[in-house]
Amino acid sequence: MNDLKNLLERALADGRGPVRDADADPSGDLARGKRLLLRRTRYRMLASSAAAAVAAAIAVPIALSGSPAQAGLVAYTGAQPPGYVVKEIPAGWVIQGTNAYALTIAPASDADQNPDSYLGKLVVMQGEFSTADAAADGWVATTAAGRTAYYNHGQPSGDGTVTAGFVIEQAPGRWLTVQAPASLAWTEAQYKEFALGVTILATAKPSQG
Amino acid sequence: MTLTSRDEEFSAFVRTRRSELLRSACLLTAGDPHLAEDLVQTALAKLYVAWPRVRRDGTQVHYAWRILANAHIDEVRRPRWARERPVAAPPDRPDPAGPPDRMALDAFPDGIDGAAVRAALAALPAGMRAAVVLRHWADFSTQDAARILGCTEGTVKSQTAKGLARLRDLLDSPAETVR
Repeated sequence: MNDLKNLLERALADGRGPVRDADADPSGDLARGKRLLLRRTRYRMLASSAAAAVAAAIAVPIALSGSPAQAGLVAYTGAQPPGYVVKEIPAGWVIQGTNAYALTIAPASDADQNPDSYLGKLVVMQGEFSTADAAADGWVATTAAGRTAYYNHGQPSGDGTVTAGFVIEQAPGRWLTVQAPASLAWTEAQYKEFALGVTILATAKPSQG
Repeated sequence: MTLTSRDEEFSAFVRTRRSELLRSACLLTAGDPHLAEDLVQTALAKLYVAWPRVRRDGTQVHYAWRILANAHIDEVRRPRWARERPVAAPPDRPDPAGPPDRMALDAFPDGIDGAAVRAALAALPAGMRAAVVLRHWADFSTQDAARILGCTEGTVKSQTAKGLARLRDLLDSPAETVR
């Protein structure tokens, strides 16, 4: 006679079930987890299209008047992060971390030191961008160094923060995306200057998979 | 790739837990290793997203299992939805008397091979199979199994007891299960 656990073990023991692996390789699951996290972050950024017009009306005066949080661009002199070349960053900010999918830049004094947490930070990634939906989502077409680009003054998230964005086409269908807190109060020209100063190397991966 | 503490903790979890999750998923799917792999990948990706919260609560294992079990039940229900038929008797309900869910575990006959066990598992409804696997393979308590499945302890007891009885019937007459 058998107990049930032995029976269930038998269902896995004749070559049909996976073998026990005492030390599974986590790299694939880690990559999938990071992609999902980034997709959710980007979705949060893009999901509030209905409120974009209101957000723009709020964000533009802030940008014009200058905010205490505004940080101008300064030359980046530190070590270049893996997968990226960065020419300029906001004054008083630091490169907090990088992985194959995203580059995270945050105020040096930021209490949140987790580079996988993007709230209130400047995040650079590459991936897809729907130009067909851009206007409906509050994006305004522009150009930067002759390349197609879109600027978004800011969209409120569910948690009350406002996120601005800038995308620039690197190659057909491949976009460099800059996500930033609207409180950074950058002008469109500053977003262009920052984005044009970032190069994503071949080792970086698209954030949508 | 620069690893954060979240990455390192998650990686350590995957190293030690993935194999058993995959084997358990293979039982949930009644021996479909490809669907089992899909379910585990889905569960672990969602676990990574939720990691700060579940780590703080100490519920990493329960969270992974909850996603695994529910994703499987969703997966099974999807193709069957169009095949539903009206029946005279209502579906199983929790037994208010709370029948024991560990009964006569030594009552399975000898000589049963893996294919017969998989066929018997496949004959169980997905939720019933999940209750059996959670209680008798993963050794979760009734309370924990109920939390994972999002149902009452009475439902877990009822589903487990009925699942065991059904397995015993099927495995006592293997000709019915191996077609």
